Amino acid sequence: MAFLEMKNIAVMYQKGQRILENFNLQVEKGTFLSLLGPSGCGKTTTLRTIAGFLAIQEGELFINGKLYNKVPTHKRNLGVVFQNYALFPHLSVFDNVAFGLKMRKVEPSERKKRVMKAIEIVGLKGFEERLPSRLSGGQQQRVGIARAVVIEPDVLLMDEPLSNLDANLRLEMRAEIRRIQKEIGITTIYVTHDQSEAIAMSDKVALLNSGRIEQLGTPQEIYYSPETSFVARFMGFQEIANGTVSEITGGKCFVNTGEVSLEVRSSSEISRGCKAVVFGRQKNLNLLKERSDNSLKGLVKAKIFQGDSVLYIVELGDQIQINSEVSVEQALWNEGDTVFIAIDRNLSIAFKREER
Amino acid sequence: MRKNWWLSVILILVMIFLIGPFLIIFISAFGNEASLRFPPRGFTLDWFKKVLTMPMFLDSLKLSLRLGVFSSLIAMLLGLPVAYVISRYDFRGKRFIELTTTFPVIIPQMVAGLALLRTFVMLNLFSIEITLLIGHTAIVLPYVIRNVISTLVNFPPSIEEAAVSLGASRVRSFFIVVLPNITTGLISAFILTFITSFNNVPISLFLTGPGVSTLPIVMMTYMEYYFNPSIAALATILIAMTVGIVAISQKLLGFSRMM
Repeated sequence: MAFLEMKNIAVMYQKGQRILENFNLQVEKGTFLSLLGPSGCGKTTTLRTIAGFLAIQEGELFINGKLYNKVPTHKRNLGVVFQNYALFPHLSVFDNVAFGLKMRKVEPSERKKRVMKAIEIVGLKGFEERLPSRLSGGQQQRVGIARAVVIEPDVLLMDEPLSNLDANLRLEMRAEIRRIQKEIGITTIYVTHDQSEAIAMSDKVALLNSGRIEQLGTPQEIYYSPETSFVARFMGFQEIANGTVSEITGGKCFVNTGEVSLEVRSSSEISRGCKAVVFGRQKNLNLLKERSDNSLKGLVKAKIFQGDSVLYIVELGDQIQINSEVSVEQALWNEGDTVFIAIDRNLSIAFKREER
Repeated sequence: MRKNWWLSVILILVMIFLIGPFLIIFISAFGNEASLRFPPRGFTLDWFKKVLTMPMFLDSLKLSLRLGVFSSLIAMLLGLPVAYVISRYDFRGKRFIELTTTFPVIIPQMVAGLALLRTFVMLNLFSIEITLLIGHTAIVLPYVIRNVISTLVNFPPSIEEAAVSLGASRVRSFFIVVLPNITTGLISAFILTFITSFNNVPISLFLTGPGVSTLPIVMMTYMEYYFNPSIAALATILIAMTVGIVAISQKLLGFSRMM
């Protein structure tokens, strides 16, 4: 059994709608797992269920082999880091961090040693006597992390801890959190809606969609090999062509668009003869002067000069538009020109077309 | 830059409306004639001496102070849990409870006073002071609940969740995390309810009895028979007291944030 296991969990909110249903998740000890997804997908609900802030209606939650369904939050030994930091405004940095140890009746000398160590790990030495209101956002979140890890929790739960920080600080804190997590080797569940954050920090990423896990895998798997069109879209792919699958061979397939037959990677959900959508990443689409192998014809709708590059908006028919950035020297086309787009057979994937 | 002279005129008018009545009372309190008049012809402090030695005023002042303090305290004890539950949980009938806390503000206090008169005084259940205490508590309770709710709404529930996740039970985290952070709000609610109780006429009017009367009622009755500056002197003392309380709390708590 995995270190943390959620089995067929169902969670409901007061109004009766189910947020999670038949939810399953396994997390190995020491793993950094991100719950990624758009708002309303159930990622925060999952975290709050593990924390015990939400009651489990059905299913079982195991941590370290023990059933946790009926264990109240304050007896769970979990560290929680909040989006809004949730520091105790009336307590100094030291007392904030010491709070959990006081509740555990750790004797004062030992308590002090551990608090000072945690404060040092998060890089706030010298700030012990400050009140939270006199710290910057980044520093406050460091206190939040120190306060959660000092109790040596079984699992560290982080709910979008960086989304209140500005962009530069976010990048810095990503590395910080990952360093701290590795240093103490703590099992971590990290909620975020930011895909770059999830793939940069995690060992495993679970992408959620309306209360289900769409795909669980390493950041590489999620980024390069999305298994569903939802995952593909969320990870930055976009539709580039529609067609019918004519052949599937060894991980590749041919999609007949009516204009050409494109060779792309196949996903598990397609079969011969089914309607398919080809997904690709914008930055992997190259503009060509002439038709070549595996390419699509398009029409230049707009040419936008951006200084050191030119952005082309190209229409591919079927109401599909793509953007392509090229260097100024390569900007050979004008509005209304015909252009060809090379489709990379290894970086584009075909999914079954969702019926609308 | 051209001045908006008409804005200045409005501002001055408003200031006259706000401060004018108070100034008239304040100045006439020092008048040396037997009846209240403005402007007074001479100056004396006798009226202050008089009201501070009249047992009628002193006894009712003491009663009003007791009522203000105790009705506010009881309302706080009753209102705090109600406010907490309303601000933190969703449950059936929550809207109804919220609505009932506005009743005493909406229903004319004369009617409420009459209702209390019929239930308590007519039945002769309690002493007059206890009846007054019940009436005043009922009147100030909604103020407590509304004020404390707005304080609690500004205190993020995640801070409590943090305390719980760190090993404090719900009840314990209320006492060691929530309470220390809402004291300012509680004190401002207390001051508001104290003043509400202290100034109340309509409820007290029905519930006072022979020999036991609150200060505003005594002042009203007194004015029906005598119209001399002693009332103005008393009013000046009361205003000074209130200003004093507000000033002290402002110094201690940063009161401007609270109101």
